[in-house]
Amino acid sequence: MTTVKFDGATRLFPGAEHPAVDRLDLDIADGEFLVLVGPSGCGKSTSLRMLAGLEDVDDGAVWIGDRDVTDVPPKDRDVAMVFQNYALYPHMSVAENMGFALKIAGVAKDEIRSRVIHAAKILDLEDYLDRKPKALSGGQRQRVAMGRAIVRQPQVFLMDEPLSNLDAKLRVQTRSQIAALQRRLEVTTVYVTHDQVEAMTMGDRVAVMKDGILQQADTPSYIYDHPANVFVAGFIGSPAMNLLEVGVQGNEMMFGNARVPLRRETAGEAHQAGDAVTIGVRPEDLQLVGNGQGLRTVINLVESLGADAYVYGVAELGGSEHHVIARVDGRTPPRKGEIVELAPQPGHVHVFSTATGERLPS
Amino acid sequence: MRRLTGRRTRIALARFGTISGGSAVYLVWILFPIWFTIQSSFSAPRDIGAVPAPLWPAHPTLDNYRAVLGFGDDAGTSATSQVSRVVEGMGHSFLVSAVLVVSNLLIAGLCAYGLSRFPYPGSQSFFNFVVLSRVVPGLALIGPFFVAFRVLGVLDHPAAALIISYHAFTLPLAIMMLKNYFDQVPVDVEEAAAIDGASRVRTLLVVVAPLAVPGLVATGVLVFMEAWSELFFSLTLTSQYTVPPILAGFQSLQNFNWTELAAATVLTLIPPVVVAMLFQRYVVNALASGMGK
Repeated sequence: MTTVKFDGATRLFPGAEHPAVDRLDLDIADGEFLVLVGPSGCGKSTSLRMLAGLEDVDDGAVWIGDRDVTDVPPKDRDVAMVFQNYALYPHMSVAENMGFALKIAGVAKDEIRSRVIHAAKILDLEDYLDRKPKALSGGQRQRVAMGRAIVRQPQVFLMDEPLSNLDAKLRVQTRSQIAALQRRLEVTTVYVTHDQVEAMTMGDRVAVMKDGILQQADTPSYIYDHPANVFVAGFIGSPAMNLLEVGVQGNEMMFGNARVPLRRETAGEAHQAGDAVTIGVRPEDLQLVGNGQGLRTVINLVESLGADAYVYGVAELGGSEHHVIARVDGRTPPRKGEIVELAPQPGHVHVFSTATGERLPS
Repeated sequence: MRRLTGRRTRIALARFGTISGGSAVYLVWILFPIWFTIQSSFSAPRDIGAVPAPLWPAHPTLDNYRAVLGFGDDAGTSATSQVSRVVEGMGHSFLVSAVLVVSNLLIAGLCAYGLSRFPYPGSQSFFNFVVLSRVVPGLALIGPFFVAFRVLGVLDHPAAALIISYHAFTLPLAIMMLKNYFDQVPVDVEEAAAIDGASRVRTLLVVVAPLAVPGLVATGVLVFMEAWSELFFSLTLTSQYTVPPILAGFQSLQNFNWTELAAATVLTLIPPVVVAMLFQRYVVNALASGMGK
């Protein structure tokens, strides 16, 4: 159990123009569950592999505890990793797979056996210890990969999209199991996923990456409520936040017919940047308002979820069409084709600079 | 609807007929010469040459095999010197082929693994060059080999001469096959071993080698076949050391005993057939299944 620190860690693949990971600074606390999330190609897996020692660090450093492991080979880092496709040893039984690291470390046979059985109990794998991986289902293989990591009792767990090969139901189930297991073992964990729902539900903290650059690292709820920029705002949350470029008049944003108050310094900045800002409103923060009080939206899809309904519509704003999503009462949703007006709830508005995408005080 | 079904049935029938008819032609094409050789090996010399060729020996006999294996009481009536050498030659062929298989798997295994896992600028060109070297005809290689071996005294050791020279055409084959095989073995199993604390050498021995077994076996079988049936180098560099030149020697100016040649041929067919049948399941049944999700 230990801390992990990325200190300006950079990875530039040979022949690539831009670094896959660009000066990553990230401190992970002892026992923390940190989720690295982002779209494919954002550098999250590369960051994890740099921590594992499977990828070179071209600049900066990686620390595990008080040890600079930047140039330490993977076998000496005392980390355990769960791979996306599990990477089980196909010629070894489940027990041999789980005990392999201990065997290499020279642990006594009895000790290996008891630790493997202990881990197998936790993961409900006792009946499969003598099977080969090919005789297991996808979910069982995933658990063997987890078991291989936990028998090690390593300093850090690394997980590279460990759920992406499971079907939807099993994924949700395993998600909570992994999170619970991590809390129980209290091992510092770095978890990579492209699924923001996984990130939000599992992580103590979430680090959002894009194009090799860390965008924001904070608790899930803080990121949800205070996204640092337009990218994070659009990436975190499902359905995604509505992001619309709106005009600014005086100290107010023009959201269709609705006028949304703006802080004076933000308004001043907007006036310098062509009288426009990007407003972000989560679907649940949009509400139906009376005629002439909001943004005219033509509803083209209603998704009823029972208690709630999501309405998808198209609104005209600033001379171009924008897609808008709003969450409404599920019992009396507007119908498809209906024209409604939507306005943000006061106090639930995010404002971003249209030029830089950075969050502005709202 | 019925017409459509009828049409589908006709198409399926036509397809079945074409495939099975083609297979039958192919089988006859492949198997008839073998059958002809086998039945000749059990025939008396006087029954050979009948037209059409009989499907079964007219007067079945084991005399040819007795002669080839050296138990013949008619020793002296046929190309005796050739006949008695067949068994010895098979031993030599086996020695050369076996050593060659081991050596090729070692050298080509390491080479192919390196090419697959540690590419460097120009490694693809190197690989292409290795593959391309297969097209160099043996005729172009034999002269240099002969001169070099004579100067170095290797010609006095026929087994060494053949083992060394055969590498020229078996190594590219082995490297090509094993490189393609290693390319298909997922690298993350090796990464998992590294994270589990295994050194590079240990990973190679405990993880990579077991996974490579099907590829190694398949490659070994092919190398064995090539070495076993090689005629030209053996004919030139040795005096009938291995079986193929001995078989070729049955046909001399004075004497040609087709039935004994047939018996010798059948005998020499046995080892490669056994090897192929023994290892077929390893080759087909790739161990790597179940490695992914």
